[in-house]
Amino acid sequence: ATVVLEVVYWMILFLATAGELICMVYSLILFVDLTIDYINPRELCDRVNDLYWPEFFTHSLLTGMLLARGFYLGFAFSLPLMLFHFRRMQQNRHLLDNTRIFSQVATERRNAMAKLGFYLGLFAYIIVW
Amino acid sequence: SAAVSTGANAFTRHPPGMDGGQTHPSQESMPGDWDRMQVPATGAPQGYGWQPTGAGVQTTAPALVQQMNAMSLQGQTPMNANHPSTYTPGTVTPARMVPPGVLTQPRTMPQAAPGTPLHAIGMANLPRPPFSAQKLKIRITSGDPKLPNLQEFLSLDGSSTERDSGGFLVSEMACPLESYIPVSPRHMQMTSAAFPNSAALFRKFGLPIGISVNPMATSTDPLDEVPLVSFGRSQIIRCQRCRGYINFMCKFTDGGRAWRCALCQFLNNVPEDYFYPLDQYGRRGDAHSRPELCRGSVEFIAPQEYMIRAPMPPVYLFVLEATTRSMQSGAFNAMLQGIKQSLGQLVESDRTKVGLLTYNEAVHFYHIASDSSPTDHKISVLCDLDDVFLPSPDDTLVNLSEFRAGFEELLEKIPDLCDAANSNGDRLAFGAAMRAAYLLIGSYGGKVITLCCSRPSVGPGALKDRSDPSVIGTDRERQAIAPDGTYYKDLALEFSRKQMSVDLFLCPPPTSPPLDIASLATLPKLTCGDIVFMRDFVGPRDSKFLTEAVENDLIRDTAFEAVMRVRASKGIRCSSFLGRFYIRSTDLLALPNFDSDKSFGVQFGFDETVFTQKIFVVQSALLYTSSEGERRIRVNTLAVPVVNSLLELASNVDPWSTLSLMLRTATDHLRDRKIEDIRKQLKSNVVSCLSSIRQSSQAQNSFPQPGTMLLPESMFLVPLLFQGLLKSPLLSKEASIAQGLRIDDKAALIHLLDAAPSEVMCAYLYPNFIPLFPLDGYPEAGLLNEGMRLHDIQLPPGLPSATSSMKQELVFLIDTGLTMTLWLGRSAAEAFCVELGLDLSQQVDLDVLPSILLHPLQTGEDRTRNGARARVITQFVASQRPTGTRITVALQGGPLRQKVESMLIEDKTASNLAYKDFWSELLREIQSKSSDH
Repeated sequence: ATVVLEVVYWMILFLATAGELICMVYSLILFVDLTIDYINPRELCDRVNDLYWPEFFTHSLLTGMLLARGFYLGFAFSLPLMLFHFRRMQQNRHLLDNTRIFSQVATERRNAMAKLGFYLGLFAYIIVW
Repeated sequence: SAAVSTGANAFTRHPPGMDGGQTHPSQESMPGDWDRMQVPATGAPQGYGWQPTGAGVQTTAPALVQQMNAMSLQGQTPMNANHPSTYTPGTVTPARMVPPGVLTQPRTMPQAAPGTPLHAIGMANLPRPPFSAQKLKIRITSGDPKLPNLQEFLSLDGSSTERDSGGFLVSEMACPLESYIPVSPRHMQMTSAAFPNSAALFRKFGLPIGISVNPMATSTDPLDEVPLVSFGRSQIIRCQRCRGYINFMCKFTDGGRAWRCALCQFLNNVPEDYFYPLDQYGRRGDAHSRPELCRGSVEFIAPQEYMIRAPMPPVYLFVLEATTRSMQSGAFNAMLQGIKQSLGQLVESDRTKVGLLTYNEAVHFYHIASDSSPTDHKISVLCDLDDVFLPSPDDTLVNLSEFRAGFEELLEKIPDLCDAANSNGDRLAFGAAMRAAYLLIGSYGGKVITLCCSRPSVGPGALKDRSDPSVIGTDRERQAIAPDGTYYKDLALEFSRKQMSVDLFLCPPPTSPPLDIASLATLPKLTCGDIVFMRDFVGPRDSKFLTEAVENDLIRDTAFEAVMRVRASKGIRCSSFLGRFYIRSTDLLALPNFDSDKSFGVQFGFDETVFTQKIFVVQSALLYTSSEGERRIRVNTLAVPVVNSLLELASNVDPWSTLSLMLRTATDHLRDRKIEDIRKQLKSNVVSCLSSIRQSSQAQNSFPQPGTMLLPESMFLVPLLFQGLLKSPLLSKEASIAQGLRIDDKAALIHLLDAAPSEVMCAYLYPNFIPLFPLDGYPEAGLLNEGMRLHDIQLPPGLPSATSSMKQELVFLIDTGLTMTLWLGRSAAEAFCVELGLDLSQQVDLDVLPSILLHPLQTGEDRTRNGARARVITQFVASQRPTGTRITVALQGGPLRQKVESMLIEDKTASNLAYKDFWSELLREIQSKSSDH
């Protein structure tokens, strides 16, 4: 039974991280689409904002799971992003504003890139462990 | 037949006063297609201030004289300045005779000096804005005379000489130099008359580079008139790749069968009916007669493809707050007065539609009768605020020309009908009223003119009181000036999609609770509407200003259902847009409504590391429906040479528009950055720019004396204007407090500044101090003789914005662009009142002075008197400012002392340095930055 639990645990971690990775790649594609006029700012913001809460909760779940099993290294690794999320929420900037997106698109794209890198690192950590 | 204009004309510039009034009627008939083209009116270009100083007088080349004599010239027609009318063939129009003296004068052009002259500027000779009468007027009317102008970079003969330093080719132009008229700086203005050739140079320069655009700007200069071009049923000539419009920088090749796009260098084919052979210089033979090939601004009549639907009629919906608050303060009646006064103009277009709603705790719809039947008025009252619906759409929005009598009758009766007595404004259904407006005119689009005196507090869009005066100028201000909730943002986007814009007239009387302008202003911000904020509205004093503002809002030229696109040379990107609009895609601004009183800022950035073109071209295109229901495209094109050295770039900077652009960026950043961070960022930009110049000048082996800076002349004012920016209430906590700014004022200030025209911004950066009394030394100042136009008057020399100007024997007007203050020196106040005709034996209320000053001169009045001249000067300044700008009276040593002191840019305040100290601090930082390298 412990083996099954173990497998389920790692499967969840693996799938959650993979899901986050897909989210980020999708957002990045959307940002590129915006800059080449493929979609309008409204659509972009609605789609990226729809992803925000799933991403946040999945990441919270990941962090919690790592902490629960005592993987302190992984936990410490994912903590900064957690703080980043909370900070943005505190500033009420976690959701994109479709009226101001064009002035923020460069920063947001950079953020998404950084998050992508971060999840890749986490992904590698989970696979290697 | 080729459906393009074939008429010939030449556009020439004349020195002021040389050809004034010399027009003669001509009987020559026009060529067949002449009617398709609008020719600029002639006349003396008075106050022609935006020509670069030193550029001198430009006249026509002798060869052109024969041309002009052979092909009759179009002359002046009286017309609405902003609505170019088309000519009909065969009509007799006066032709212009060119005075012979003008033609023989040589064209004086500045010679391209090898290297850039640098001047040592230090404590002993701190630069200040020029204070001569003419300069002050220019600054008020159109910014600084040093402005981007292609002509300055062209050589004398205009044929094929290449400039060594700029690498700028005259031969690149599509038209001969003498027929070229650049875009007016009122329509488009660039922050520097040169463009860096690489991203590295751009970074090294440090200051932003961009443009301010206002395609609809009105101007009294006949050269600013925009010619109208029609391609008939054939297509407008545009680049196939970048969709840029054909312009004066487009070069024709292949014998005239192909043209190269100036923006993206793509080689396009010339359509058959647009073909014209090239002359010996490789230009089209007819280039001088085609406005699109020889002028910076043109207007095209848009064919069917530019319409998604039939052009909309002008629609005006008035939404008025009907509460005891708006009634007793007089705002309601002042608003009605403004509407009544403009009906005569509105009815000129027989398609105009009008409607009227009032709101308090409920929304009232008025059914308009077609005649002035005095019997009974049908009113529908909507009480269910969460579910807004229309009672009967047929007679609540009516055609003005058919229903004028009924509508006027309604305006007369409405104060009694609107049930204001039962509501004091503490329960206000503003959100529901806006929703009702949306339903009522959503199918057409149009303007929603709104009076609001209280904070919306019931129904959808209700707002909480979140004003806390202590947060002004601190970090917590950011939350207070951000909109509360997304109700108004979502509504504004729906409005924008339906081509509706909201004009807000916010007139809270004194003692009324704050409005939360930060949230309300989202509506005009995203729909390109107007914001008029009259804090502490007192009827007897302010009604006149409100009426005027409403009238101006209704009768000025308005572009309906507009979109604007700005295109720059390939490789350069418009990195940010600043102003009131909604950006629909990367470079497409949705402007449901656009008018002459707003402008946009555009900032450029590099896409690639190098920019290989020799000429940088930027083009703005505004596609709109005129009030006559015609779809038009107004295209402004501006070209500047590309330079490779920092000093050359810096010596072409226009400090006023550069700092205006920085001001606009600051208003944008205030919403998501700390004020302190913005100030630091701006300062580091300026310091890095100045220290780069220092390094470059050292490379040129010119070392400055200790305590001085070596600067090109164009950069002289940068430190002073920058200090003005830092000291303005926008970025300075101290000044906000001194000027008594509350959260509402701050929010309104941000929204007013980000769309303000450049002359307002210039005055905001360095307030104008204009003497009104005594004017003994300047007998010409303010003299408005019979028959003279107001903008032709002379102004007295201005005073520096410093304590040294505050002499007790003086009276002057302090003009900060958005506010005007009449400052009375202690010992001059009495004499000034006597001059204005006040009886001092009775109690005199100084608050009557503004209305006396703004009272127009009557015929038969002695115009040489100081009082009359002071009135003329005040009226001139007021005419250059947003309509409805009130004048406050400040007596020396009176309660407004602190407010006035905060406008003294050059003086020391508790947290800001005096000009001299600021200068030395800058020097220190520059030196320490340079030694770091």
